[in-house]
Amino acid sequence: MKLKRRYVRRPEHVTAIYSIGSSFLLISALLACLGKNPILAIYYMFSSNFSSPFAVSEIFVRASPLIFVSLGTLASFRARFWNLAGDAQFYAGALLATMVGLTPVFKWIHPLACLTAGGVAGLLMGFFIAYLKVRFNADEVVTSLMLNFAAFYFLSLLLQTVMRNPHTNWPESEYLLDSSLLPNLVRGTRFHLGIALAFLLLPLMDLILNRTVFGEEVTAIGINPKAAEINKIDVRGHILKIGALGGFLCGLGGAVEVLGVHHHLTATISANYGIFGVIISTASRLSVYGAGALSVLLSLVINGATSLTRYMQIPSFISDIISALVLITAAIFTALEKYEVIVEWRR
Amino acid sequence: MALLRVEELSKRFGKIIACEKVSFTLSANEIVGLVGENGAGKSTLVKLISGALRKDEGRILLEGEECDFNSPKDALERGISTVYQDFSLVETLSIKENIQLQTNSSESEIERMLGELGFSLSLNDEVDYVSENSKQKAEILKALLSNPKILLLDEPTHSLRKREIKSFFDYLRKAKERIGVLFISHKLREVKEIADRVLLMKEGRIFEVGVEDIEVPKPLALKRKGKEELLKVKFDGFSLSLREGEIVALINFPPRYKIRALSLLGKAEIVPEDRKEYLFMELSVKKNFAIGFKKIKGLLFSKVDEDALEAEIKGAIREYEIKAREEDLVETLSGGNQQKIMLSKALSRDLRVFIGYNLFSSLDYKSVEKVKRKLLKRAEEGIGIILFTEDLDEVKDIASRIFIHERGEMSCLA
Repeated sequence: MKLKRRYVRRPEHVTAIYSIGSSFLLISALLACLGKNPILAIYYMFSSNFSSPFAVSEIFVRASPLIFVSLGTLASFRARFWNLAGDAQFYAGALLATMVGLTPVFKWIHPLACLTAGGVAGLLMGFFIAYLKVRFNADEVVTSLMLNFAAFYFLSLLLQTVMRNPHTNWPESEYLLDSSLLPNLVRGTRFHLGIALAFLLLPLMDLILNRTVFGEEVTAIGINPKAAEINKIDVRGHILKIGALGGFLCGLGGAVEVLGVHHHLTATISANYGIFGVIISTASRLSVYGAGALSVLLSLVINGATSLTRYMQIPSFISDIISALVLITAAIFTALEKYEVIVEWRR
Repeated sequence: MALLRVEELSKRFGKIIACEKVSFTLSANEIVGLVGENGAGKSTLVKLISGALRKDEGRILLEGEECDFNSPKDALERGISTVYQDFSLVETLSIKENIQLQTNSSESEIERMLGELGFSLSLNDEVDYVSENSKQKAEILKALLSNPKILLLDEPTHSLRKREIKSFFDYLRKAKERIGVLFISHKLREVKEIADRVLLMKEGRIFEVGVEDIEVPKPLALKRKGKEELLKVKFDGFSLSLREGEIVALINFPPRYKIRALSLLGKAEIVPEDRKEYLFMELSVKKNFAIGFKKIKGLLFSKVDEDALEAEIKGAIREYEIKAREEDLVETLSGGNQQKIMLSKALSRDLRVFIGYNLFSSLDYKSVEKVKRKLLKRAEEGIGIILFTEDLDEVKDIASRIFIHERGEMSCLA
């Protein structure tokens, strides 16, 4: 096998397709080793998502937090600002939204106040990580990753003590006031207004990141920070701004999840969404619409995996394995974007 | 028998033909000059012979034996040493370690070679912290110490000082008894001085030309006197005031002065020594021009003025004869074309002060003339220009004031 240098990079969406395709091939091999029929398993995984209108709506319920967090992560990654605190920002957003949601506020403004509080909580956290980087040159990988634990345990502490639900005595918050909840759009499902908001964010983020001077400059910083500086781009300022924007989106995602789906706060409100954000933005090669599509695909996989347990006694962890494979293969195919792989058979 | 024989060598990069059926021979006891415009395929040819690139078609014969190198290491083992246009040093190692990585030479051998070349170089400095001049000398040492039969030199002199070029040439003339040398340079005066034969490359094809046929460009006889003061820079022990419409050349200044000048970024447009510190290699030509271009304020976000941008890129491509389309990625272009893109972008901006480092490296002489004319034009418009360079000849026809730094002392030529 040989690698031959390509002079035009392979298009990025091809990388995404290769990585998803090869992940399913690998998982099929794994299933075959376990004595399960891989074709049947993958068929069930996808078809179970379309078994009822409720199941279909659940695809979008699951995709919405994935979109918020992956867009937030992707925005930071554009500047090669490796903010991995998706979970921390998500928790912060959910926490602040819950606090405002438990406080009586004038009816019509209540959901908006909760969303704003959640977004700002995430924004401050993203800004904080960016500030540590530009002011003290602190490695954002370390600070942001550690912040996830800090946020999680801080949230658990609150839920065990001051925020504990006095009626059930479970480590979870009280249910939010009805006036704060996001309206349900389809009766009999959990399809709420926040999901529409998530999908509306896609064109908006495409506009900001791909069609404005700010977006172009952020991309330029990611490609070559030294050159960005000599071309008079405000590198520090842009990293602060993109950190805040990314944090805002993740925080907003947390707020939407509380207000639209769970209606009260638990410590498990983020089902590893921060990690999924990293996977989706990496595998989509930082493309906004690619991240949207991949969020929907992964929500099919995650929801479908639960049914697989029922149908074929395959543990639902299979969705985690698939996501991990997508990340690993995406990294490999990204590295190979500049090369042509030539396989020669020797006689 | 010829030491090296190249037969019908071809190489394409996608649609771009870099080398088209190139044939030539190189014998021992011979220095062959290779000249040609930017993007003519000179560097590609060197990389094909040295194993850094794989050929598409054709044959390379070393002492009559066909060879197919997979990597520069293979070529090195067969006695082909190369100094590339872009340095290939490990930044975190010292110069000595870099040389020993490739050659297994002892320190005394390195010192002896330094003596023969007449270079001074502190071997224990980490490459990351040394000047381009030192890196260039390290590359030359590395190539010479690997006992070459064939020496491929791609722009080996562009960061060398005059005195060093002279002693390097003296060494080459002595050494060529044993080896064959392929010498690429844009400085036609040097090629004329050192080469026994000259090959000309044009659009991937190669032609033999007489040494006498090379025309050395005539100097531009234009000078300007400064007027109003634009900027005052304090270097240690020397302060420079730059006036409107003035071109000040600083020759052989050590790196600390250059770093000091970088801090003027707020007031000046700066073109660094290394293209990779200015250009975004993974972006297209168009996107590179768009960064820092005039903006139109939108309702919420500002956008680039697309029409004006289009016009500027078209103008630059025409004016500097850049061999590229606006959608091409910069990393796919030749070194000279990259340099032209950097210069045309920097020189077309709204600016008061322009600072450039070794602007003319890797430009062919036609382009050098164009850039010089542009500098003079911008100076007439009232811009102040500071040029750092290693070569007095490069700037003496356009500079209004020249400062030379030699062995810790500074002298001024008006």
